[in-house]
Amino acid sequence: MAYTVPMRTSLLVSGFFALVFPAIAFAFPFGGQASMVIPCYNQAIYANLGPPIGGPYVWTPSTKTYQFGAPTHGGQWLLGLAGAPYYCIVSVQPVIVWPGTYITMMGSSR
Amino acid sequence: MEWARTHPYASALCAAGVLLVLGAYVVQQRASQPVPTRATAWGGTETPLLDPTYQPAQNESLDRESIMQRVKDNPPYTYIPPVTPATPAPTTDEPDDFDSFVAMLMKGTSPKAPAQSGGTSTLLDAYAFIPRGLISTTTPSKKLTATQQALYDYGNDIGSTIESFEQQHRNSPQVLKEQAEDRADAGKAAAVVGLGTAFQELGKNLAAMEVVPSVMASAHTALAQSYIELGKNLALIPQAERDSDFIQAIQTYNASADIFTKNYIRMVSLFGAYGVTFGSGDSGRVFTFSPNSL
Repeated sequence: MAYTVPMRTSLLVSGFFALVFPAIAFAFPFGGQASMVIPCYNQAIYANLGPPIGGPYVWTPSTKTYQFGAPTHGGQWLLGLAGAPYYCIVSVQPVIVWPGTYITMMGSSR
Repeated sequence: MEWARTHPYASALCAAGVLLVLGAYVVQQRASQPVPTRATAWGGTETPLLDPTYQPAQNESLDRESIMQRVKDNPPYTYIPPVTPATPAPTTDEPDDFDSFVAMLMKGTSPKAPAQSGGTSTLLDAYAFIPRGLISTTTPSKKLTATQQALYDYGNDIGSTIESFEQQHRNSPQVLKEQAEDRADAGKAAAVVGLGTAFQELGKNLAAMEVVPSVMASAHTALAQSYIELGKNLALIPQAERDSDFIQAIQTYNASADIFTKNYIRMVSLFGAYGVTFGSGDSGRVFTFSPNSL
């Protein structure tokens, strides 16, 4: 009894945090399948990724890009490191900007 | 009828007996195989219950042989016979040496078994179905030079700082998005300014690090400075009121983010040039990426 109660409590707590903060353990590496790939006005490419570590990411010409190049279409899988926030300027007039995380280096599927 | 009324239990027993006989008759008529006349044990063959050593005739059923032949010709697995290497691997005399046993499984070929012990060859034959050379139970330890060790420690140190910052500001794109969509909101503007200030603080903390390997000093200073510039330019974005100023501030910030990324890649390249790698459990994993790190 004295053994199972702390074990169950720790399992519940760790399970809760794993569900609520699934990506908190790994900050920089990212990866997932692109659901949307949009070219930006400022020569960048905006890609919205799904799990496991998804979100809005922005590829730029300064990104160190490995095989098979920059994101080009939805359905691609991307894997890499992401760093600072970055703005994808979709439109200048009217002003539409989509912020994402700067892709420092990445590789992609075909 | 009078007898049946006076003896209800006897008549019920008679009826049950009649039903039992009828049921047995129906089962016998519908059975796919003839019911043996003598008592036998349950099993694939008609082994008598009282004589388990009985062996049926081999040519009793051609169909059964053809099925067995098909199974033998097309096994559902691939048998990989043990291959004897050209040079015998060193073996120990201890029969319970677990390390050597694991080493045997990890190798692509099985070592030559000692002539006096038939048990080892039998054991390896049992493991012949398992593909070998694909199992790694231990991580090979690589001897680091003094420079590599210093870079490894430095990478984990700075990686821990960067990772901690990233964990605290995981939703930074969302903060920027909300401010860009509602530029008149003072609270959302303050959130962006706060994020910029945090970047500057991170840069100052990195610049204040005392233990930096000499080979990394220049890249370290550049990275810390680019964090500071990044934060300064980010904090300026909410101050822009007109659309043109807003776009200009964004482009200025993006340019500083480009410089930051180049400095970051430069640091990653230096780690690679010195042959320093980080595992998925190291804080320095922020300088490398692999599917294991997801």
